[in-house]
Amino acid sequence: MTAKPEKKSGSGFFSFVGATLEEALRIRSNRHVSSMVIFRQILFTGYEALPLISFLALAIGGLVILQGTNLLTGFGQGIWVHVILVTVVVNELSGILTALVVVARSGTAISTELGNMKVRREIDLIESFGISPISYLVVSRVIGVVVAMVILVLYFNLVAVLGGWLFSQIFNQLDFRTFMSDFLSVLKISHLVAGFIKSVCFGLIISMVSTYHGMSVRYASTEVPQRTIKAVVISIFAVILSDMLITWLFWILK
Amino acid sequence: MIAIFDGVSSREGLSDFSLRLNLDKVTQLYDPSENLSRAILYAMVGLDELHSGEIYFDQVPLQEFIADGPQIRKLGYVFDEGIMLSNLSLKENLMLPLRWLNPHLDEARIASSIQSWMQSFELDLDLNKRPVAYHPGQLKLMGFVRTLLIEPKVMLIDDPFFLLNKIERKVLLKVLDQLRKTCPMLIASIDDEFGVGFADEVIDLSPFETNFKLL
Repeated sequence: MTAKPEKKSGSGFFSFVGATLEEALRIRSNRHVSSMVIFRQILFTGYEALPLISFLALAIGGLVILQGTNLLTGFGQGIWVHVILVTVVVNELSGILTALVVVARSGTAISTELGNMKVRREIDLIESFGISPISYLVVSRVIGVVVAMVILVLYFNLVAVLGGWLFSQIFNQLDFRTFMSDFLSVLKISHLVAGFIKSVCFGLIISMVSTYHGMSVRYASTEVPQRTIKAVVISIFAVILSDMLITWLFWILK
Repeated sequence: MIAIFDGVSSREGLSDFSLRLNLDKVTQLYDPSENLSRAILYAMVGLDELHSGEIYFDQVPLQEFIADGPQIRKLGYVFDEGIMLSNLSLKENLMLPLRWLNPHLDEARIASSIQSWMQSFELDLDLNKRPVAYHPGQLKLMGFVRTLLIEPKVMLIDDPFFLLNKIERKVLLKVLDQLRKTCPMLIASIDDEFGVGFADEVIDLSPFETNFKLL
């Protein structure tokens, strides 16, 4: 028998996470993890979110440059606008906004899909084959969401920087090479490391919370939207709290 | 193979339940409530959670029996509803347990086997479509095809006639009648077609109703 989520139980969540990590850690020998499910999850969470992420990143990058230039040129400090781009977008907004998009699109989808599968006894069917639902449905989705999240955050940063450059053209004809040179002069490896760590954490949080709530549905389809709402609210809280924690840790280490 | 329920109490409602089942022949579980028989089948394939007692297969406890080799090769469970994974095509649904059992399976041989079983069940479906494209009776028969492709030692069939129309019932009965000589079955049903002239043994579960608690 695989670990099953218990209803309304904090310990239920942690034992679910434990069972998932246990099965994820032996991924090489675990034939229950499905590469097809991982691929489809990356496609849905990553590839299909690109238009929305592109729009958000372009707009945010542009707006930061717009507001930053307006503010800083008044003090004759226009060069620092790139610092704002790095600090605000690369360090914070890219992770948070991407996470919110992933919660809204994939977190809800995962929770709803698994909840409906539970109601329709599809999870019992998988288990009757001897396939572990935790490995096949949960671990595969967790891997898919984490990989997609890392790629999306990286993509968000690239597009935001591009958006920043495009908008900076409005104020001064700065060629791309100069803009990038200024930008890279303030970008540090630690920013990229923090961004990577955050994206992995956010991906883990969103996928674990969503799969847990989806698998926690027991009998009725009316439980599905209730569980999905809980998954969204808890994911957002957890993502922001973990963001604060990671930022604080990096600030201490600096 | 002999299955023994020894004082089993479980999440699905079994309460201090004991029974001996001979799985070398065709047995009908006659259960007017239909809940107890499902709970028995669920427990046998490891879908239930035992609180106390034990289930033995030829004196081997359930968990050891499940852990010792692929369970679906031993007990092929056909659900009462034609449950299919709705995000997979019919073909992917049929292939899922087979691919898990053997990642390097011979796709051409399986495809011909699928066609052969579909002909037996008089099914003419596009396997590239999702289950939602077909009605529950057809999906139920596809559930039989999926289990038969695995060639289990024993078939556990929950309410075989559920969701089937008159024609589909006749087709299913014809196929099962051919299979009964080679494949032992445990059938949970209250339909007379399985009780009279079909099953080698009929076990009336009515006296055991006190050993079942509805959730």
